[in-house]
Amino acid sequence: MFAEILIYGLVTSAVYAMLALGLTLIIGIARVMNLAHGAFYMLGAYALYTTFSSLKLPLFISVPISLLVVVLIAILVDIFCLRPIKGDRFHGILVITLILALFFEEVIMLGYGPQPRAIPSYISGRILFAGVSVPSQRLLVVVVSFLVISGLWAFISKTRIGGAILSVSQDPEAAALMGINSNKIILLVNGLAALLASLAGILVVPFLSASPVMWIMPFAKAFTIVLLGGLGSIEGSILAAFILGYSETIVSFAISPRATELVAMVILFLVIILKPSGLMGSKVEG
Amino acid sequence: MGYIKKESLTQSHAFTFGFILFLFLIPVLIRDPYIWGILVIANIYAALGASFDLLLGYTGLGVIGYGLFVGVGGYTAASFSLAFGMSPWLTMPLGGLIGAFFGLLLGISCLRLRGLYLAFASFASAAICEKIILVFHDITNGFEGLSGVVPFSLSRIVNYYASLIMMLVTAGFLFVFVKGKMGLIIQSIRNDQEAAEAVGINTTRYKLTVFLVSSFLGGFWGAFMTHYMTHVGPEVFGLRMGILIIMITVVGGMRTIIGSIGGAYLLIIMNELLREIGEFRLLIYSLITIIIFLLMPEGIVPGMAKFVSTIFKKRSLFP
Repeated sequence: MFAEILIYGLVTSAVYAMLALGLTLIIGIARVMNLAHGAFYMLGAYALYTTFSSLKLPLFISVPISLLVVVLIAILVDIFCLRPIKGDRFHGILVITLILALFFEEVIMLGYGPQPRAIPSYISGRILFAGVSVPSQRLLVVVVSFLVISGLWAFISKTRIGGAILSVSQDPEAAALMGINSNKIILLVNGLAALLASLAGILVVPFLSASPVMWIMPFAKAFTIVLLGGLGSIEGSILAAFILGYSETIVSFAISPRATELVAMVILFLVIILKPSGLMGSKVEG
Repeated sequence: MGYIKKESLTQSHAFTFGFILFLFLIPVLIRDPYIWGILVIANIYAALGASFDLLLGYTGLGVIGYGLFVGVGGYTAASFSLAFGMSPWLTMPLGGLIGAFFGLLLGISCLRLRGLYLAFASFASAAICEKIILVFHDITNGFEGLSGVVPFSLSRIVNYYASLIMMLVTAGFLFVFVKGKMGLIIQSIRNDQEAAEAVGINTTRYKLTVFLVSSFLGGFWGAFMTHYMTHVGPEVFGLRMGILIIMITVVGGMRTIIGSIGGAYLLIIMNELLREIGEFRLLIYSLITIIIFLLMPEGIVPGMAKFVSTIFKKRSLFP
């Protein structure tokens, strides 16, 4: 059982880390809350369902198409819905992205119906790992998540654009004075976040199956992770993803799988009340 | 917002009174109990939207989990009604009180929080309640919820007038509340909390008052809704309830109280008109809300008032 917790916790943590990283980037850089982020996770899953299961395209074509579609939607949302909001931008964006999330949910509900849709695993077979037989599809999640997160890390810390992203997150005005177009950076970050979210959706759909309401709890958990790790801290988010992923897995094995969602929400509530700055966050801004 | 001129004020008052008179005459004008039933739902959501407007619109507290209060009030009413056979006139204030208790708890725990944190603390607390109800399904009846609650009244006309009068009392109370000194104070907190503190406003006290009032009304109307529908389920805690109330306030016009009434009537009546196309309803709802939010950020009711007054007087109602 110990080995099972170790491996299944790792898979859960890897999915959460991908979802949470995008959210960390948005909150840290655009300083707004994009509540439609969770919907991109769902859209990714359905885009793959359409291209892979319905249109029967090969995987190496359907995955890029799915990612592209979701990123395009995210870019359109940023340009047409988020940018024009004036006045109290924070609450404006909170409201409109919440309604957008519902809108996407309804579009999917209409197009595909409320019933869950499953697609076959893209890699079959099981791998014996530390005495536990794990489906390879789940291990693929861990590998891809590791590669993507390392790639993102390298992109942000090593490239010039990454530097621009960091500078906007630290001080938007100073960055603007240095000639950085913050609108473009925010667009890039929204696109990147949607890419991560849809990739997570694509990776989990073979074993979690896609449904129109699949986004709410993972999104709430991603937010829990972002807060637990500290707003805007990438390292903190990864650490927190592991904490949540493992505590959920332990609860699921020790108590009941039904109680896992309660765990995340209680952690979220406690973190907000007791330590809003999170584990690795610096200063808390309203 | 700016100040409203005297003449325009009387004009808009006349408009409001005309509308209220129309609502009172509806059972005489339209002899269709089915339509009265729809309007009861509109009245419920109008009151909920107006109570929510106090939080988001006036005080700038983005409580996206407003369903928490509605659900707590609803479950309180259902439990007391089912267990002791209490009359709705007792369970409704009781639902309000328990709702206010939860509002106070959330308010106290989130006093230092603003923006994102508050939004998610409220979402999480509503989600915790929903999950608790699902986990302890042997007591709470899980997904199915509690049915067979005593109906508010068996007469449809009593239901209609009771909901209308209570809605008008709620909206009138909120209107007086925000037009007085209290309204100025909470709006100053929304605009700049530090500045409000600097001029000696006890922001904690006022924010808690807003939480108390709004959550009491949420619980009260949640209880009324439960009695009216004779059923309550865990979905009232859900995000959809929160989003629906936000949509009503946003479409109607934030920071107006009256706007929420307009928004509720518009959305609930549209809901009925769109019944033909069934499944498309929420899609069209959300699309319309998004378009209104982007094109007419001040909301339908202030937007229409502006439009009407430019036609009649060639002068703006809201200069």
